[in-house]
Amino acid sequence: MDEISLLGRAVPDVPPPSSQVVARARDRLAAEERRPTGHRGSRRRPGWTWALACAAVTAVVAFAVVTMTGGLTAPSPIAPSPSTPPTSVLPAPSVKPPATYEGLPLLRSKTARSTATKVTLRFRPTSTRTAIVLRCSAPGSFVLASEPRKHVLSEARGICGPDGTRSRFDDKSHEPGWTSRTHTVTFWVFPPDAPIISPPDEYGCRKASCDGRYKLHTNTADALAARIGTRPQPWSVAVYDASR
Amino acid sequence: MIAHPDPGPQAGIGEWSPHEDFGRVFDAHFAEIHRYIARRLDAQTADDLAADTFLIAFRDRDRFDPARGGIRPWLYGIATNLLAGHRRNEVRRWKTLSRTEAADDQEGPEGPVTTRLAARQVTGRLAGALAGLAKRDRDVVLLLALGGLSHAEVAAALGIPYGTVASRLNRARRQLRKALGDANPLKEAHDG
Repeated sequence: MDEISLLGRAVPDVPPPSSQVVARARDRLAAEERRPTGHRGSRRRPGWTWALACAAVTAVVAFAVVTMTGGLTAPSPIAPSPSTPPTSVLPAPSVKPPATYEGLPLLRSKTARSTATKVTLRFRPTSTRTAIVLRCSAPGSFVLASEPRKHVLSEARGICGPDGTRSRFDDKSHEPGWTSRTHTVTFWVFPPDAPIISPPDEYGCRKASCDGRYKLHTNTADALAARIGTRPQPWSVAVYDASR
Repeated sequence: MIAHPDPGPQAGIGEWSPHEDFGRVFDAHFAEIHRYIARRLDAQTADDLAADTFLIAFRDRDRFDPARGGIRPWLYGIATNLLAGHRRNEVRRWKTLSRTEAADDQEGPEGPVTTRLAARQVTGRLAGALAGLAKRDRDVVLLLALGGLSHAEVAAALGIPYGTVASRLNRARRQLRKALGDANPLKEAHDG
């Protein structure tokens, strides 16, 4: 028996992934298949074409009473949303951005305590290995990212989840000139049951809103937020970038 | 102690491809990719990274070229790239395993020596050696040992020439052998 075979036998084995883990991974793939915006090739649109990928961290606490966790402010109970079962009192998944993401150090981050709110991040990437990660305590939350550039408003939409806490924009940084300027990006997050037409071209709606449901755009976000009001569903956005 | 992973369906050239049915790719290989990552890091991290592996594979499925290797090397290559972001944690894991197994070794029972026990007794030494390997060498060794890939598949997974796999493997083998005291404890145990 050689060293390689010996090593294969010696490294401790692990149990197979649980059915929940498999199901979450499968759901992420399904979400990717449903994702309205593409990555490249003919699916790429001009302007911002950030791709949105969904990752699952925690599913079972999805509809629990939400508390801020993970070193933000002191945890405090927050009233459940209208769709929240009243009996569950479980900690929400932390939305605190970790110091690193897939080996990339944290460059900039902000945390919001509620959905139907926006935050704006300004950052100057130093590499083309930039990952922008959203973490939402309410799985299935709608995300809108936008950046005004000269005469163009670049936008991207996606779902934060579907069953977890993190979504990721990660191919924007491959565009030319990514590191040559400071980026000012605004992120909106809306709750999963927000009256949003998704995908935007569904139902053939040609206006900003139809039948009380809104297309998710920068010019409709304020009106949508005013209509549904904020909910105590924390989320965060973080920019990770390779060091020089 | 450990059996090699079941390679699962051989989804190579001429069978089926991720272009056509990615669900089958997931069903056939998720567990083994998860296992590979979990054995190099931990199960919790593997939950995320294995899912990330298949998400990346799904996005890049148009780039999959069966002529450059099968699906397994392709998936293992993606997983190995993701593991690169956790290098420190992996090294820490091997060092911890080295200390743990070394302690067990000192307290080892004096009953009959079995193959399984012998393997356990060398785990600490091998883990310590793994911690000291260069990442590129460790990747080659662990793709062979844990992934059960062939040399050609490792080359495809890492996108390196076959000869480079061989040279990295030789270098790593020397260090592993040195950690084992230039001997094979399993063989010694059997020989008695």
